[in-house]
Amino acid sequence: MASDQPTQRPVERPPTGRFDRMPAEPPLAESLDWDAIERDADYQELRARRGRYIAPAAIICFAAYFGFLVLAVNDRGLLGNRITGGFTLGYLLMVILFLIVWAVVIGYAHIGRTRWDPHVERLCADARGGDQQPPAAPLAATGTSPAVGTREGLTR
Amino acid sequence: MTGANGFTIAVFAILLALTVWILVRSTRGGRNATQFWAAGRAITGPQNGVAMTGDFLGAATMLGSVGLILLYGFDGALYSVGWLVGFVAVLFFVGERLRNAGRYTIADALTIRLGQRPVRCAVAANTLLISVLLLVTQLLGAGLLLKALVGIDYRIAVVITAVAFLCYVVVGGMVSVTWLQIVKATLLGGITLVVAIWVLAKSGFDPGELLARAAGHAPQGDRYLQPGLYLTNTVDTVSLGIALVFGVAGLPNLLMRFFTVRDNGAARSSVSWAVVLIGILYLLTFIIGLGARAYLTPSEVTAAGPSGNLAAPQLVQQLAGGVGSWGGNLFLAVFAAIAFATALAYVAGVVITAASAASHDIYASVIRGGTISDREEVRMARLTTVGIAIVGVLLAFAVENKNIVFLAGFVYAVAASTNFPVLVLALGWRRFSTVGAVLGVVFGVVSALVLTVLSPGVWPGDHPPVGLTNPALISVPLGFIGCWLGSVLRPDPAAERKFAQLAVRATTGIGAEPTTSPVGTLRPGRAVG
Repeated sequence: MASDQPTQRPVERPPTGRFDRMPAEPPLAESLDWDAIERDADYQELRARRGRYIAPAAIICFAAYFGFLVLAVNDRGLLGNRITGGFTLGYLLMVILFLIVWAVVIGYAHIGRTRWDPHVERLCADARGGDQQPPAAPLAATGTSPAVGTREGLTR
Repeated sequence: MTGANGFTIAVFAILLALTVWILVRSTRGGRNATQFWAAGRAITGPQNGVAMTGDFLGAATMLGSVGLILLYGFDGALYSVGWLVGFVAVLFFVGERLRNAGRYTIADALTIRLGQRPVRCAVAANTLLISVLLLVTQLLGAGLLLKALVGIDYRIAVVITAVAFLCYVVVGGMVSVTWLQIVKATLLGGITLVVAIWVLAKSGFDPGELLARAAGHAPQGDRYLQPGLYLTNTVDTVSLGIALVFGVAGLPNLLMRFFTVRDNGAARSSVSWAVVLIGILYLLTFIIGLGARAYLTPSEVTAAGPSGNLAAPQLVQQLAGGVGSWGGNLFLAVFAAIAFATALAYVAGVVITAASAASHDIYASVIRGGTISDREEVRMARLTTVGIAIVGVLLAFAVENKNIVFLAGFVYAVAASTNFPVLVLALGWRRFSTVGAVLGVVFGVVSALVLTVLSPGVWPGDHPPVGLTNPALISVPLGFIGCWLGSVLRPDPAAERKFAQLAVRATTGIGAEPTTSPVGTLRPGRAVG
């Protein structure tokens, strides 16, 4: 029994080594010039475009929320004005706050899908075309490697 | 109100069958660490949005909101809005970037640029603290709820809940937790919708009429429609608002959901689904809370308890025909089963988060230095899950007759003062250093803890040294100051060098962890070198 143990272990190890295979991270992290991508004007433009949505949208949401809180605590008479039945200005503002949050979040998702994602795809294609696969274009052009051709076709 | 009836047993049996079916299905995806911790990263955006809704809405949250509105009207509703706004912070500052940068835990993302051991230890310890506190509050809530609705002993109820969530987490990992959340959110949304429509129908589908009727029955009269019954002080209210908004963006169990989706686009869409669903559920909850005030008799309001937590079941029972009636019993049984499923799914999500911190961050990465086989990692994950469950049950026994309402606010304050600053600065500030991250976590936790102990809700004496009911107004800035101070005192050239790697990866998804699902294909240009 005792002599079985050491012989079993090496047999057991290889199939469980999925953990070592899975992340493509260490080689990729070293092969890519992250600083060059970060300096790239296209990348900077992507960050700026995201910032141009996020900054005003965040300010609107947080200002509306905290403004509403402060107003509620300090002027209960104003927010207690009835509009119809027992429906007061306070409840109306609360519903408006919900609508603002929904609009900002849905707008973010929409712009992300239609603007930023295509931008990122372009950026990735450039990064890979430049650093990763220099021979890809000539190979695809001469048609010697159909595999490369189909992969390029997928990315477009 | 109390006492099991035939319906209760039947409805719980149906629920049990449903969840066992989920459990069996969820074990099909194979067993490796990515499957266990991140459901193979194959959950779609809308699915994850529903699961996130489930992850966020505990039984205590929903019942507590109804109770707050019953007792305090407008302020009860105002309290809930902060959480919804918090999802804007999640979406803008963490969400998709965390998906791109991370693997199984928050620490995985941070340690791309920051020092492995110190940052993992600090962040994992903090995640454990937050998760265990959430676990205890939810177990307490589940135990008291089952005691009240089904009539079983508190300790037995807690143990039943713990055994049930252990089955899901240990057997199915994140896949079964995710589907449990989806089923729970669907059931919870369903019954909330039915009850809200019922209440609205009684008031002629006119919210104005409902509000007027509620004010007519409220002891405060017209004041019930105005703010000021619960949140009376500007500083306290703003502090609470900060805790709720930025606490959501630092909740580890919510953030872990981002690692279960295919890519950043799915992460983004899951937040928008969650925000819309949670918003609708809150609006329906407002209607139910107002309905409880408008239609419950004074004796029923008393039976709802001092915090109004049992107002929703009281209302359900009354609408369906009253105590002892056929409909009342049936609806009460359905309500109890859904409330149990809600609590169960919530604690399952919290426990897997705690286990990820203990097993993946501390054991696999720090103690074993990442040289652990996949199978061993999953085995450790299961062991730590059992350990955390035992700790949670023992703590839940200990707090049975204690008032731990302050804990909910405290947990959010800790999350807002630690994870939020650390994540935002790691992704956005080049000079942020390892020592900065550790110091930020320490400052955030310690200041939140000290300020809470000295606050009116906890301090035993009549004159608490600190007037602030929620520490976030001071502890969140202190968390940021800790990050800054540590980074200035101990700069970290390696972390500065790797800033570009984390920032580019988070923004573009280059090098992000791929899905391991055989169904999906990788998005072009990502992850493959």
